[in-house]
Amino acid sequence: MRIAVASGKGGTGKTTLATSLALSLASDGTDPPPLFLDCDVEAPNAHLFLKPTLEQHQDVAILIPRVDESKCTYCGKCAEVCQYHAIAVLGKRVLVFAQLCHGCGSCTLVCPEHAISEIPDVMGVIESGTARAGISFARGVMNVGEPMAVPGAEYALKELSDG
Amino acid sequence: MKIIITTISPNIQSEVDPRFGRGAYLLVVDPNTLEWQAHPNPGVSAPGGAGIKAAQFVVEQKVDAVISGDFGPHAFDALNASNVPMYVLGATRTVRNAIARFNAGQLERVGAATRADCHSESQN
Repeated sequence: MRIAVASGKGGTGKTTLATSLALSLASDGTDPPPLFLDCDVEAPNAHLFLKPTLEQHQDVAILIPRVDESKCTYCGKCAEVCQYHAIAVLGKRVLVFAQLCHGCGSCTLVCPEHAISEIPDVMGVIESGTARAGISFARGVMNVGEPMAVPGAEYALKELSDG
Repeated sequence: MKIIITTISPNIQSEVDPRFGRGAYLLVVDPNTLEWQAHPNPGVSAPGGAGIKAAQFVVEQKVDAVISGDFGPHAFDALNASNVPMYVLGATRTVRNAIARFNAGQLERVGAATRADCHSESQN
């Protein structure tokens, strides 16, 4: 069974409820022990209650474009397709704004010259280990100043709930 | 000579719009003859990166300068990479006054972004 605890409002008791549920399940001796994922990647705090030993650290990155200007003809198709204006063609220059990029890969797909390759841009880390009462614990932590939490949180959910 | 000013209405009688990326119109003006042409700012409808979209338009117009109330970091980087000089309005309210002050060399040219980007502002 998977239980999601979520709220758009802060201070409503998400962490209290989620950590209590996990401890309650663990004390019932469920096998395997519960897996607790703190996906509040902008300010995770469940570790304060579950006191995990975080043994594994895995960088989380999205793929951002890198333009090979020797192949680029400045046709502007990449800038046209980008919904977030993360890539701009300005005369004979191409600028990539990494912080606006959602890593969708559209620019790479539409480039007729195959001048765009994708490179990882690290936005945070997933840390995991064992917490109180044998709970398997993991959390995502964004780098300070990273503007977009959603790709990081999605990645954390996908990686960890499949693993 | 050709410059671009961000404006509230699509004509030269307009007041200036202090926003670059989301200023309503981009008025292309010859500061000597006062011939002008108004374009809706393509950045206005952008969900994000408005300044970049507006900057791309400005660069395509091959203007000699751009005048607005402020330039965010992305717009600044884009315009700077294309060597488009950026000037800020200060207390100027009308387009005609902005042009007069530009011609008299009284507008301040900016060498760095004049504010933080919108994403970090909204988080603080």
